[in-house]
Amino acid sequence: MSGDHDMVKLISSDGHTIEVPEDIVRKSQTLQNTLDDLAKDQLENGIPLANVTHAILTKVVEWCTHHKDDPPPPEDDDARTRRTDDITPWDADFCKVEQTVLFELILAANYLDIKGLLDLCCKTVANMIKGKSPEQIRQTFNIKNDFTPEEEEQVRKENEWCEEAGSTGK
Amino acid sequence: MRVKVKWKKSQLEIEVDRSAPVTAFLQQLQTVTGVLLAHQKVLVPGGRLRADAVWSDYPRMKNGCAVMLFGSPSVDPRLQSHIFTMLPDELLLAIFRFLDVTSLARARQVCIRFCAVASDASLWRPVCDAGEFRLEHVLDASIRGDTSLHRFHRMFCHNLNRARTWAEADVDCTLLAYGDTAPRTLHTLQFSPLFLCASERRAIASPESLAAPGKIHVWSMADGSPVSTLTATSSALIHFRFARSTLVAGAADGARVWDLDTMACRGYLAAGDSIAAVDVLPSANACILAPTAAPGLALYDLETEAQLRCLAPGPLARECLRPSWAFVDFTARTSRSAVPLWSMVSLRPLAHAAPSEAPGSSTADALPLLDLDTISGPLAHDPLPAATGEDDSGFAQPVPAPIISHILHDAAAAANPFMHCSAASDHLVAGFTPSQAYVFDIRAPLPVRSFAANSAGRNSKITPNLHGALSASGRFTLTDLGTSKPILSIRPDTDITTHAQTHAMDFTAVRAVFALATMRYPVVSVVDLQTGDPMAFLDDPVLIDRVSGGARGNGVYFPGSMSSLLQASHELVVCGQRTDGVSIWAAGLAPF
Repeated sequence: MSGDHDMVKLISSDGHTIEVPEDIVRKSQTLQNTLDDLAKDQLENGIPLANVTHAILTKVVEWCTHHKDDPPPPEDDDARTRRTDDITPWDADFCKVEQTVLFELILAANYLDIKGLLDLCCKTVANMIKGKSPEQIRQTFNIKNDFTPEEEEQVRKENEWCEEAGSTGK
Repeated sequence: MRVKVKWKKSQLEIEVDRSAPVTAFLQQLQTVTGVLLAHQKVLVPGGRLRADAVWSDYPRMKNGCAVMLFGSPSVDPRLQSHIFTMLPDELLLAIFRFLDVTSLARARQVCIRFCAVASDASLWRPVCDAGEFRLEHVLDASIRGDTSLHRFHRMFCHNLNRARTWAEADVDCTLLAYGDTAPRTLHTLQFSPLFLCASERRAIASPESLAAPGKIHVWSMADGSPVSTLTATSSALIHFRFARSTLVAGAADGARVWDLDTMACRGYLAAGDSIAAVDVLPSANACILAPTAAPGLALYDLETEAQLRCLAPGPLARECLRPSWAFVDFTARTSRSAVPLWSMVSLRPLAHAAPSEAPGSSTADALPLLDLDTISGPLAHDPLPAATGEDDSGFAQPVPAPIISHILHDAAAAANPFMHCSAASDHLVAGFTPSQAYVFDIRAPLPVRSFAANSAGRNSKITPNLHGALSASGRFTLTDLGTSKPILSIRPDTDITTHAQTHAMDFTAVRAVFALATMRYPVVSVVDLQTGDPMAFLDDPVLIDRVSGGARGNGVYFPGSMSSLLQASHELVVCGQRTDGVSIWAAGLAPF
């Protein structure tokens, strides 16, 4: 009964149960807290995850398995880098999914508190926004422009300095 | 029964359950092809298959027959309705954190919600700090005169260069008194306040204006009449606060002290440095100054004007300057997971004080613990020691150092820095990390409890019994510190039809106030904490970034961020806005 090979049952919102090694499960801070808080016998029936579907949970486990030996991600701080070009090829491939799936992954990573996965997905979405005009961003995500013409003009004016200063910033 | 479905260029074999309704088959088709029910046109032997029909209407449908499906697959309906609606604001914010300045600015142009979230101060502050763009551009953009948007630009300018100012003309500052009915204007000013403090008796503000540097205006809260105008300094005023009748104002050349009863200048504290932040102890017999350049906090005796002690180094100390009745607490990024507790007891030259220890010293635990009876005694009535003997020399060396009683540790995560901490009474202190709140009994170095706080720390506050936190997504959670159980969780913006952003909050035992901003108008919401229901919407325009304050009537301003504040006290709601003035309500109790 080596602790490393203990399996934990996770029950997705659509009722599927999957068994995941405990060390993988512990990549999720939320589940780690749950494991620590509950007695062994309370875990017998599995941990229900009301917010994560089977399809998404499978993806999450896939990511956690690949990254199980990663060091814990660094803490946030204000000077945190805004780099989005540090995505590994494996991660980039992992994120080549439909927008809906990507967004559900963000929700799941947030719910399960898996910082590395959350950052990865957020970076991927950020990369889809970067370098685009407002109209292109709307088209990419099918967003309706709900500004009044006056408001839109106002925001556009506010941004003039930024477009002008674009070369000074990064 | 199996049928061959011909769709576009493909042929699919589908099992039809004739005991199930026709719609079940159509649903199967939708699952397989992605063509929505409403867009399907299905031809079977015997004509078009209608969703409301029954199988017996189509007797010619036999095993192996051909079925034609017309229609194109639709994109996911959630995509059609704007995929970002899936995400709460805090996750949208998490994405925006990875955008560069230009992309962030463009994101503000996409739609109202993007604009609100992408304007969040937390996104822009690092940009300002990093100097990623030039001040001139900001000033150019903001002088054009759209007052509604000054908040956005002022945020930059204030961070970049506090001394620069603009648009000071034509801006009214209104003091409003709020009774059982409508707000009543107390006073109107012609400037935009840089700082604001209010108590039950006095409202105090200073203009952000190069034309009148160092002026502090004082009004009566009773009738709004001007009481006095104080000249704090010949240079720019940086920060002020008051307690009881004592006002301390910090400027580039030191700090001045006034008696608010007589409006007489009581003295001058020559700090030898520009003052970044000040605070006055509740007892009003000592104040704390945070010099701009030097590390640490300097404690001054207000009677003798002598510096008692330098409290502690730490770059964030000045940001978290907030004494409680029992001690000064603060956290510094350098101290990471520890919160030193400074005993105010040792303000008094007592013989029992331990030898002075370098702040953060690992031997701090070995120091004697505080005498809790002494701490919890009515500090307010304790006079500071009359300078033992005579003048400053009495304080020169024999005054014992404020002692670190001990260091509180976040045992759960040693690498987790406290963002902020608050002290609520003589026995309770809470440290906040981005996700957790830790509750300490000051007699023990390890937290007695922790709970999920879901807040970036600065939008947190504790009272002796309650912890309130505003999450990045605008949810306010009130937690019972005794049990660590949440007792109220509300979204103050739900009554606002347009998308609203909750900027700030403050609360007392009976009610909470929230500053909400929408694209079109700002509003302050007052919520009854017993029921969770809104008590009032105060719609005098206010916009707030960060909030603090307490029942004693001290406003708090943290230099380096926006100067606005929102504050709830027993009787008042005070709201500050940098461009449009200041509003003060008595929150629905007796008119004053």
